[in-house]
Amino acid sequence: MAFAWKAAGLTYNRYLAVAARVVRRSLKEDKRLQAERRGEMDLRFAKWENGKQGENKSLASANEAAMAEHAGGQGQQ
Amino acid sequence: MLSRAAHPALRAGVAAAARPATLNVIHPAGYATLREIEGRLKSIRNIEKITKTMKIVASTKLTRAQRAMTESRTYGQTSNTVFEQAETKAADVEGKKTLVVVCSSDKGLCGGIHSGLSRKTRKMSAENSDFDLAILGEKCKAQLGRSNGRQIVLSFAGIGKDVPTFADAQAIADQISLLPTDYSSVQIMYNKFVNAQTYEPVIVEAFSEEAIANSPNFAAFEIDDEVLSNLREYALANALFWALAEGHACEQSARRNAMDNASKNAGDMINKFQILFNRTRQAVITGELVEIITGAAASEEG
Repeated sequence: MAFAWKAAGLTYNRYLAVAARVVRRSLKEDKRLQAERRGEMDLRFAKWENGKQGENKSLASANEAAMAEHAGGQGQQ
Repeated sequence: MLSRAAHPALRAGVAAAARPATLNVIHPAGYATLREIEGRLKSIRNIEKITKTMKIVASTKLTRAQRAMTESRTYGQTSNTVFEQAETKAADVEGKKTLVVVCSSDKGLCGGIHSGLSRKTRKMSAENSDFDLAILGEKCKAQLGRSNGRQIVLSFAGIGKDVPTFADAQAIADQISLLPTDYSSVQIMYNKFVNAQTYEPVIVEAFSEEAIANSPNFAAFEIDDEVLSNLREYALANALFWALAEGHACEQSARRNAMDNASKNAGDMINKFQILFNRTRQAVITGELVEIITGAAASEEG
């Protein structure tokens, strides 16, 4: 793999989100507050199986966990 | 409506159940209904106040939502230009499922905006039920969970509190691309904003890697196979962002209209009840006068 972030298990979107966060945080104070509001994400999600709703989980932490797992799987290969 | 001989208790129950119908019921007992009408008038006035406020709130939110929509449309259309130039077509792979992402939201009180999406989904599943569902927003989840529960693989909540951000779209796109099933294409269903009064559920396609790779003019872009999956994920996030923002704008405008209509109806009802109230009061006064006069006349005679 040519990309370090890919080897770390990140998806392209996650990589972009992290990059965007860094840019936002390096802005001046007044602009930063405005910009950081655009980067907020507070969603919950649930997986469904056979017509039954699973547990409601926070999307942000679930995404991180899934990617960490993904990275671990690739590291072993 | 009801015969005068009907049981009084039964009559009261019926009157309470059928609200607008009480307008044309003639109550033999004046006193009780006068208070009843007053109470109902008060509650309708309160409801009118609430719906008016909600309308104002929705109007202010609408301008913001519309601005966000025009901005996000640029994202979506720019991202689509690539596929238009490459003449990408949905891959027609046998045995692979399609994923339909339904973009609704968590909040109600906005007319038929969510049920429009649910209806279209049900229509699609009646024709060909070989697709999975990922649902954004509680409203469509509740509606489709009953009829198409088995097709749902993912549901997201927390949408529609504010103008959707690109971070929202990215997180959803990530979770969708992490799904174990390999889908032939992802179709995003959202409410297209036609104008402030009308909206219609439409579908925008986010293509799979094979579909992109097989497109006729794909070679013109000189994209490495390695970054192809990145393009796909990014395009999915773009399309989702577009759909979310446009759906949000539709929802706000629909809520504004719904609340406008509700306020109008409340105004009509207030007028009707006010007239009824005045008439009843007059009748009660006349009745009392008649009673006093006849009583006085009777005692004079005696």
